Amino acid sequence: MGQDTILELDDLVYNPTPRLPVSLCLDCSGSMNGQPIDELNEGVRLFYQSVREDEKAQNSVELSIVTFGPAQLEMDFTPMSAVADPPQLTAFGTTPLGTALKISLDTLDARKDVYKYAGVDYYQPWLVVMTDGCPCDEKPSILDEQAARIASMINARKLTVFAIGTGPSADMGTLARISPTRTPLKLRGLEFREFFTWLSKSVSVVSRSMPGDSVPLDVDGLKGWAEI
Amino acid sequence: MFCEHGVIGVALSDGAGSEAYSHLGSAYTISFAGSYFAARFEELFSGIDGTFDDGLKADLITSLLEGLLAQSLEWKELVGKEAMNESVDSETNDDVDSHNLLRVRLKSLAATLLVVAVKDGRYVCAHLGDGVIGAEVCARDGSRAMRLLSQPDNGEFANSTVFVTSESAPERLRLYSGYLTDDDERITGFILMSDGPESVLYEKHQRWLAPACLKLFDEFRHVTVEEFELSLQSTLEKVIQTKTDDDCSIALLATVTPERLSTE
Repeated sequence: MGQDTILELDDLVYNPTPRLPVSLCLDCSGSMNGQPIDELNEGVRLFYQSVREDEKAQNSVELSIVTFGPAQLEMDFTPMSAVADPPQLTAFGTTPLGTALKISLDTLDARKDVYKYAGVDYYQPWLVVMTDGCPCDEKPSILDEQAARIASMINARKLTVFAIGTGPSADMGTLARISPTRTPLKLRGLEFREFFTWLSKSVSVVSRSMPGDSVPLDVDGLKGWAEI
Repeated sequence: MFCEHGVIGVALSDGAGSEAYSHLGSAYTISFAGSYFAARFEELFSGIDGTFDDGLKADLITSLLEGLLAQSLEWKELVGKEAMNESVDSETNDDVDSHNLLRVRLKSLAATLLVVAVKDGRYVCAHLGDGVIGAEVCARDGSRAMRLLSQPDNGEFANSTVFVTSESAPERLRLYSGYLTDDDERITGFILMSDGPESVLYEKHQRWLAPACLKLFDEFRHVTVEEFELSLQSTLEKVIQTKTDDDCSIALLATVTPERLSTE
């Protein structure tokens, strides 16, 4: 007794790292063909690289990728530490944004159920939506439904949304409907890499936050990629 | 630790990380808890069947906040009028709304609350926010085990919790009471911990306390208070803080020996 430390490392229990689920909902419609899709792919690759260089963020962030035109789940929520390379995105089709949002939100709800069942803590999820055009779902009401669903989640402080318009034809009005409390931003040119670098730094901040911490956005960093 | 009116107890409070004066808020919360629980132990114990009057919870929080606000006026003199005004005015506009000013000032003092009070073979506990309250329990055969009394309240998200200054504090305050001894076992100690030690001494999924917590009680009983505090500090710094970035606080309240129950 009277030893230097009372407990040893072997005495401690293991609790999983709290997870930060991030859903990327990305426009890969035909209008993204050429340099835009190349820059988007490079941006996503940089996001992977940047998050994996941060040990805490790597162990916390779980990423899902939903693309549209056609709307599909490119990758379900996967720990960043377990993903070798991001999927290669290709440009094709129209812009069923509402359908893609539904997939994003459904997979997000399913992932939270997994966390709850497994007793894994998690941070407020992030939904990142990027589009360069106007939505055109087969069932037009689906966008209204998902916009209402998002608004409800935001009001209940269950979701953080980043809505980004890319290119000259992006429908900022629609983006404002799915991001009612944070003004959608316009990506400057094809600066996807700058945006995803900013995003990776932002998720790193969240993965380090503790109860009672406010998690302010890097507003200055926005100037690196957004038209402000 | 507090000891008055025949009541002995411990209190722990963890200030909110991002709030400028939460260290003052947590210091006052501990002081308040000692006085309040010592003076009103019988009233608090009356909820033995688990049905604590909501009015009791509201009164506790209201009393705490009134005291906190009154105390903050004195701190204003201590920390400098400009410093307090700066933090308050940055969140209010020129047209000062007294209610908002009050709310902002209190918010900067946000802290959690964990307290255990014991009197005449009975105990009462209060818990608001994260962290854990546990008990060392001794069975008739002398064996000991750790038991969870109150789990952390983080809401849905890992980086959120409730503080004494939160609007929902009265609803989310948890009160417990009971007897130290029943036919089969006896509570021989209590442990309070903030969210730092919680992350490595409390298994969240199955909701159990690390058996190694018994080592803390063993050390507590076999050395002086000063020696124990040094060992505990060393443990927090060299072992627990290697696994967490959160604030680390632990408080213990225990019998001198884990008395063995009569076999009769």
